[in-house]
Amino acid sequence: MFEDITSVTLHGALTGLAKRQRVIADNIANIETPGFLAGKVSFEDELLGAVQAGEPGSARISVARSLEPTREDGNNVNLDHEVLSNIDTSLRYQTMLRGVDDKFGLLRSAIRG
Amino acid sequence: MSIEAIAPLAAATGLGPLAATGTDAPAGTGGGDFGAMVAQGLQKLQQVQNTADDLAVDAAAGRLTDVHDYMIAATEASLATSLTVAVRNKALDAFNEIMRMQA
Amino acid sequence: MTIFSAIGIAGTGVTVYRKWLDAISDNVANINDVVPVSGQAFRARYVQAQAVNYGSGEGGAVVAGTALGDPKGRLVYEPENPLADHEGYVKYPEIDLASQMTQMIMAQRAYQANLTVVDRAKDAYQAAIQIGKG
Repeated sequence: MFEDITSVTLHGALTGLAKRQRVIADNIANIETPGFLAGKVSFEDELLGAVQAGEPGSARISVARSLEPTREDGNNVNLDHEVLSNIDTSLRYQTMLRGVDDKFGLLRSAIRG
Repeated sequence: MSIEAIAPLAAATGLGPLAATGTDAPAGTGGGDFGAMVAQGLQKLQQVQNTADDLAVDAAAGRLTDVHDYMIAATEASLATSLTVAVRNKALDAFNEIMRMQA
Repeated sequence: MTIFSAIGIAGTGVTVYRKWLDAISDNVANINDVVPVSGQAFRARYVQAQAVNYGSGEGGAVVAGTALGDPKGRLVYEPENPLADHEGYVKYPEIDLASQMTQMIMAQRAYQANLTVVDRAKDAYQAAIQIGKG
């Protein structure tokens, strides 16, 4: 019942965004750690490809290390970028929650009759 | 004083004698326009739900530029579903009412 | 690209003004770098900002490059300085502290203004998410 493409995609996006939030928190916590390279989570392109292939559950979430230039201590975490990414991820998460809520709401209104 | 014969009411009210017509078929038995309307409504509902689903996938993949498009489509889908359910309920009620009448 | 492009655009502004603040702090930190008269004085850094996709109204800003100031510097008479030449002069960089302070205030105000844009955009977005809810 909840295995249609949209529900699985929304669930996959929620998982990916939650992972991204954790990686951002990790980056900000390590902003003064020497030699620390910022982490970047990517799943959107994979998810889109999986949806177009008809298998949204098969998309993988990947975490890569950023290759941006480092400062003197070998750290390359960019605070502005992390803060804005945090806000962006939080808004996307709320949008996905609203999407899941609405999908269940449709079913609920049909059940209530 | 002459007493006139009682004339049938028809002359006064303009109503003809009862004729068997198919235009007043009770709701839900698929008679004429109403059935077509319901079918059309269901099709529109499916369309609206599909639009909302497509926009949801766009939002999940990060390709959505304007979130209000998706919100409006989702609200439309949800309200269209409620409306269809309400119409179905009323139609069912009317049908039951008529079935009770005939009993 | 952020989900609400206003946030991304303000983000580019935040980066530009942070780089400006970095350049100013670098200039102020080096304002008393002494070199012998024969050498080049510390050159002040100027950040060159440029609009991205000018005319589209949706590009934001970017730092196009950094320009370096004048290496001539100014000569100051300090005969007891170990770097002084036979006439007693040393070279200081040509950086005006007052002007750097003014620029710092401007950069800081612009930085905060961009953060306010991000904040308001976030509020607007959250209101949009509530459309038709409940």
